[in-house]
Amino acid sequence: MPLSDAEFAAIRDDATKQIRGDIEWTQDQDHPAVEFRMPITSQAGYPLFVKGSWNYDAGTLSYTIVHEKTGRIYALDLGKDHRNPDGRYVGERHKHAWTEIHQAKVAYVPTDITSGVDGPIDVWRQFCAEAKVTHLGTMAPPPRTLFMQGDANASNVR
Amino acid sequence: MPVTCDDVKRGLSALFSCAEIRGRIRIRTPFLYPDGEVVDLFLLQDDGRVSVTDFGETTRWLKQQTSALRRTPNQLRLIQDVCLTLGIEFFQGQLLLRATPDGLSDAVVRLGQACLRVADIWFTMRGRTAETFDDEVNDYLFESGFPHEQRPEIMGRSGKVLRPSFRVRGPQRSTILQDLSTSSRAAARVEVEHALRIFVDLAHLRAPELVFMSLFDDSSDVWSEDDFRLIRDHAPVFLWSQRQEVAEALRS
Repeated sequence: MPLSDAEFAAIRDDATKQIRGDIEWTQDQDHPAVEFRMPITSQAGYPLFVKGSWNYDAGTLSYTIVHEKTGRIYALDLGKDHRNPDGRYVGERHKHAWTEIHQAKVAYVPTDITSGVDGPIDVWRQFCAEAKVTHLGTMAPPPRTLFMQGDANASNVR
Repeated sequence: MPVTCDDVKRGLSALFSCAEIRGRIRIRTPFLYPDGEVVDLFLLQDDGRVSVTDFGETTRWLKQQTSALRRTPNQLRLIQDVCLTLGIEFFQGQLLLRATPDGLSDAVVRLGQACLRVADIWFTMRGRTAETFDDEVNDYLFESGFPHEQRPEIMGRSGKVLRPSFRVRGPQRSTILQDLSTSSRAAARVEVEHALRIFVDLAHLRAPELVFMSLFDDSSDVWSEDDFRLIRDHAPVFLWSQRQEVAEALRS
């Protein structure tokens, strides 16, 4: 079922959202990207989890908060352009936020994300800050795959 | 001779753009995924052999939209059907097409079309739709054969026009049915208070031929006993998980 604007705002502004544990990227056998998935806990008990996806070859990185009953409600995309329903393109660094009318189709340019596709750990730190999610753990650097080259930064989040 | 951006642009309209990303050619198409994300394709070149690929971006986009861990067999069948129609290879999550330098335009457009059709599998995914609990109840009432109105306008004794979820015309009497649904405990009390306002403001209409009913969506564990107690004073409480009782009450 879809969220109301008020429900989404309550989720977004809830500062008790937490991710507990270290994040490890894994290679899916049926996909070039490396990914992770972690549950998000909160005092209100929202049914949320976060997905990360890094496709080095395509030059794309996404962090997505998914509501189990609604789907994607909040997401950061790097490396892909996006066209909003009003016809405007927002560029290769944009965030989606849920609305009742447009669901997650409307994206905006975030001012808080300054790191790029090749800095998934720094981006993760910045993403968590705006999403009001506390990550109690560290994020490992993404692994290399057959298609991939280069290093990702390996600093801890905590 | 490797294919260059100029070679690619020569065969395609100005709607397509080309850039080098990590030593490879990325083709930005005018096609959009269902949420407005732009479809990008890439050229793989090896000893004169050229392939066009989405580098798995389409299936990656699908995975980001849903809570599902993996594709279902049915979704995989849909992908394979798309690939069969358009002559596309589906390999390790990528949509791929071998091409000749002269046939690049056709390959790019065909692969772009495949990306769109595969992305449209999103519409078959549960939890993606804009279906509300209202819609589920509406479908249930329809399938159970109860004539009903969704969100009828009814004047309350406060003078305000209220729109409860449904007015159902049963064989013996009519029912004003208010459904309650939320995925968060924080919003549950708001829902309850909204339903209470409706029942209180329409209390003057209560009669042997017109009764009230509350229907809670208990698929999420967000309701407390206090919530049920508050409503029970004004309307009997029914649970969606036991909706057979709803049908029996509407028929009685």
